[in-house]
Amino acid sequence: MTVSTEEAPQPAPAVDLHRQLAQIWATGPGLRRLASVNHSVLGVRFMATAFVFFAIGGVLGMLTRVQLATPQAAFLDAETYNQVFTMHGSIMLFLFAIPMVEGLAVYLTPKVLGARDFAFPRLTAFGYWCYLFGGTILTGALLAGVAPDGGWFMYTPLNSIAYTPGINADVWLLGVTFVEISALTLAVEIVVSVLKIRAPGMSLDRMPIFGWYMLVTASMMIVAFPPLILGSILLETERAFGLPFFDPTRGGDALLWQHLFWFFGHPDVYIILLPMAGLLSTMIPVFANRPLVGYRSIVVAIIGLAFVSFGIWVHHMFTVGIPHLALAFFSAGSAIVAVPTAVQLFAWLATLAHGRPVWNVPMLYIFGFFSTFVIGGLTGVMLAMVPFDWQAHDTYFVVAHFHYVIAGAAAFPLLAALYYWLPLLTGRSAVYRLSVPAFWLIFIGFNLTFFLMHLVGLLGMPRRIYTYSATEGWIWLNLLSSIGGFIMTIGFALVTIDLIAQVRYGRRVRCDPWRAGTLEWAMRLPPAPYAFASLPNIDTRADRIAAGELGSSLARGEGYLGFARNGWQETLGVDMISGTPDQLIVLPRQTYMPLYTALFIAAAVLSMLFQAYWLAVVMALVTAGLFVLWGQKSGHARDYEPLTIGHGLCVPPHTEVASTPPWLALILALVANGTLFTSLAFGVLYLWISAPNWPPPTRPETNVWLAAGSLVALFLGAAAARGSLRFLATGRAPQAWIGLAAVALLAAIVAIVVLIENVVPHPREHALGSTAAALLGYVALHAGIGLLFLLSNVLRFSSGFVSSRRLVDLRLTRLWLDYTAMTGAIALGLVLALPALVGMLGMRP
Amino acid sequence: MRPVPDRRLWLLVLGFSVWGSALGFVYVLHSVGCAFAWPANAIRLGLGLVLFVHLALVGLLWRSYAGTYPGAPAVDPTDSFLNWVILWTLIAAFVTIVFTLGPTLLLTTCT
Amino acid sequence: MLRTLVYLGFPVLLAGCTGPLSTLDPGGPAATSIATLWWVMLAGAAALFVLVMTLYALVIWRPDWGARVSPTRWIVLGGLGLPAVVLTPLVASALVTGERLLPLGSAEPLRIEAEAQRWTWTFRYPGSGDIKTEGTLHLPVGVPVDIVVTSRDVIHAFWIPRLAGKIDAVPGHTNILRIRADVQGRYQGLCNEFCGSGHSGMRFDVVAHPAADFSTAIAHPEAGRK
Repeated sequence: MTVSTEEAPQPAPAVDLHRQLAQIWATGPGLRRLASVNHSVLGVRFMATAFVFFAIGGVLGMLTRVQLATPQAAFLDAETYNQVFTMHGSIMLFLFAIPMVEGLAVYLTPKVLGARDFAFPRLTAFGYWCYLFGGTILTGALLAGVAPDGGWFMYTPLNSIAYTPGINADVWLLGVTFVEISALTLAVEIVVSVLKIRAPGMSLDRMPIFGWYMLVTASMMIVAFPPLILGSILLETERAFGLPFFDPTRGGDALLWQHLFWFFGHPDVYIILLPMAGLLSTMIPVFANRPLVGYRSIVVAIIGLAFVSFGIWVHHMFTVGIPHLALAFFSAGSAIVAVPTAVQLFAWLATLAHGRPVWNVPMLYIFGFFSTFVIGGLTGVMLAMVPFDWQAHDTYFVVAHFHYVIAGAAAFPLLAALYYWLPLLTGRSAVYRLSVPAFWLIFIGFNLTFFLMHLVGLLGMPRRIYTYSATEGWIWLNLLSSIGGFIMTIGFALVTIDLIAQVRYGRRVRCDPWRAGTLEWAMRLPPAPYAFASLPNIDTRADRIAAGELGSSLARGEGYLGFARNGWQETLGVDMISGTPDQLIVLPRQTYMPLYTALFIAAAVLSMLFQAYWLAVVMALVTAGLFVLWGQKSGHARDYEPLTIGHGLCVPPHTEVASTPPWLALILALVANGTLFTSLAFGVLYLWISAPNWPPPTRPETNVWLAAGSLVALFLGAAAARGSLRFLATGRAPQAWIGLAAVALLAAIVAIVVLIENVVPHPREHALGSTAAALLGYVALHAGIGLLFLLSNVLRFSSGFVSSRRLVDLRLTRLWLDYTAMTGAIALGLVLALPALVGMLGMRP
Repeated sequence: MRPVPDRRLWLLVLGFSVWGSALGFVYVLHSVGCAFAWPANAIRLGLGLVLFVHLALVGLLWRSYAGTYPGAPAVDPTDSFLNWVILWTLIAAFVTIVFTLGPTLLLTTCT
Repeated sequence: MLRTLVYLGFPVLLAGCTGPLSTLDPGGPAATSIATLWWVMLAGAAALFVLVMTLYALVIWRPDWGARVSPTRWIVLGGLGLPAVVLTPLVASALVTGERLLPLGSAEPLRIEAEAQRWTWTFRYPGSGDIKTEGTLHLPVGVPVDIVVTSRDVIHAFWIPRLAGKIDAVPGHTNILRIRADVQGRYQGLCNEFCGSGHSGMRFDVVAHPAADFSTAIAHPEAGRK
């Protein structure tokens, strides 16, 4: 044993401690920046990249306003205009709003929660690269003139191969899905980190409200994105390989796409809004000089909001011909979602009412938020009323409404947050010369642009038309909207200049300029890569601490982990509820692996785009291999037993405990995966009951024996994984069990591939066949990924990363194979039930 | 002080999961009923039954939960915080079920 | 300067609520009931907006005033009470309005088929022989008509803003929209679901004839154009 672990490392003086920690945590210079996995670095990259995409999206928005400023304008033709508005929407939502939220979460959350980093730094980096490459593919297509042009919600059959034969739609489907990988990985990471990686003593009731907002938002992302990803995969499969899912002539249904899309699309609005509310709930108490009122009520409200926001997706589909009774519950849901929103709004008002508010630049922007958000909320309730929506749907009234709720209600809190947190980020205080005129330009421009759109919408102007005649009475309203757009743009330009001025000429600040109560100010500004030189002990609600004083004590290493050990990047894991430290989390160091992996995925995406399908398969296999390789260096190659963390406490490293971050992450990933699977099963049943041209001319049939055999093999694999875990835990060699599991999975895959090849009707002929093939393919894919788990287990067992104390690898495999067997049973059961279901259709009138 | 088990976290989503289940059942029952042209009264009876079962479920959860953990001051503050949040999500879920799914009992079934 | 302002502002005011596609200038019962709903909601929304912004101003400039109301009361009154009082009657009345607009009733109304195909509308009048018109829909005044809407290619939406709300034309599905024109004359209709490069021009005319002249009008569609 070479490393001493028993004796407590001595606290070093503040300067030495800083030097030692910085050496361990710092991102290298030059090209080694590409290997960074640090949350501060990546958070800033996310936000900066999102800002660039915001500028691109903004310019596209301005192009539409130029075109619409006058009737019969010849500035853009219809084809170009369609690309421009489609990309404006897609960029603003997928490449700006969501990544901005992620960037904020990555940058702020660990600091607010008193942690040195997120749970999976390499995953953060991977998420960033996926976002950057996916976004680059999308904007690259714009430059090449082949950008998506079918509207940002990509309705079928307009975006099916028959009506969009070019690669425009493929760019969207592949590019956005690529970007969504980052949304999903980050969502999992945020939930695990908020629950597991907080300062010692920070029980859930002491967690700053920002932590709750992030927890709820990220949980929503885990459930919201899979239906969109599934929809994109199905549509891309239809476009590339001719399997009908949405084609009404072959048993598909155009409305299935709308259900899948809006089941993502509606919660997405709240996924953007909730973090904004989180920022406000953090800033308002600071400017009100009192802690937030109604902490518990807000927690209840946002949990309710998260759920209800999923139950109202059909309010985007009030005009598709769904019976009024079914519209009623989505309408009432869309109305009642105003209640949790009102609870938050009045909690903020009460906080201000019971405090001693100081007026400041962020407060000015918060005023902007209040007015735009209230208007957007009220028009939202109007649109929730079914008859009114029948008139206003897809007109400029809707355009006005959603710009108020997601442009106004995101831009103003973001700008307030920018002025509030910029001193943290840059270590300089604001200059403030331009921020006030910039606010008024943005505020007036915004309202001029979008308020008038309500009226032009009521006057009958549909969205997405590239030109209009002079006879409808829309001329002046459109011209004024366009003028407002330019005023707003000047405002944003001023903010940008102000930003640069602050970064260059702002006065240096060393600590907490706002006398804030949250932990992100209890560190030197700008933050060191390790954030906290030592971790605080929290004994009160963590938005009421004296950040400045605590900060200097922590910098002297007086908290937990106030030392450097083994060159490890250390932070503490806590019990999810009580916040008692229960493990020492040793985080991975800088690595290029996330970059390489994302590059190979980008190669796979591009191969798909250019229809080099075999190359895409090769790239996907290389990516899978890289993931296995990636896992090889995680954790420790030996047992450590409990290690000291300071203040007389010892906890085991994360490799040796049950409630370890990877375990939680896999549970959450399976929740996401299960949502995708449920959406697929929903899709099959939806087509069965609703799609035209059912039943198919040929009767479905499945080889029952083969299906039963593959099911037995899947359950055998799951059982063998349990065997391997039991053997490992009792100190026996698990390889034989692992081998058995692998053989069982291989057998299952072979059986299922044979089943897929014999699907009747042929998957290209009718949606019945294509959905059966999709269900079977899902199972085969999961069995295949199970094989990767087993491969990784064998490799890591032989290199010593797995032992009877370090069981997590085999527990992960067991969980994955259990999931595969369960979903396999449901999928195969559904496929076997298809003939009976088709038979039932005969009973329809 | 006994530690609060991690399982308790799932209870935070319990109330609204029941709401989600009610919404799912109502949606599916209504779609199937209309597709197979069941009589309007049969559909409505089914919807009423789904609604009643889910409301009863939330009520039972509320009773059992409110009974098990009285908000005594001696209780760990984290525990009583979670308890409060869980109880109020149950109440909110009950109201949400009534408000969103109640109208289904009164409207025309399949047009 | 003033003259310019008046010159610029006047058309905006005049445009106000009228227009060939204005939902606020209804020509039939469906559009009228929705317009009424809108005006009521607008008044309510304006009141609520003023209320919230006044509260915001008060809590900042008159802190003592707001502190007299306890924090819990703020949240209960504003967060729960206010929405409950506003939303319950609103949702109830909107559902009643919605029910009234449905194509229900004992009498079998006149049916007209509207078929969308990029980027034109074809109308068929099944009760009146094998007549079809392209780009112009003929209606009898004062008679409820069920428009049976479908599409041959992508999704479109059938919308005559001055008569009723819209309904989507979805390939593989048929949707029914009940409309009634109360005033004789011409209306305009359009496609309200993005359908590709010709979307902006996918308009149609609507001519409401006196009920007695209707069958003659569709038999000689050209005559109806005058």
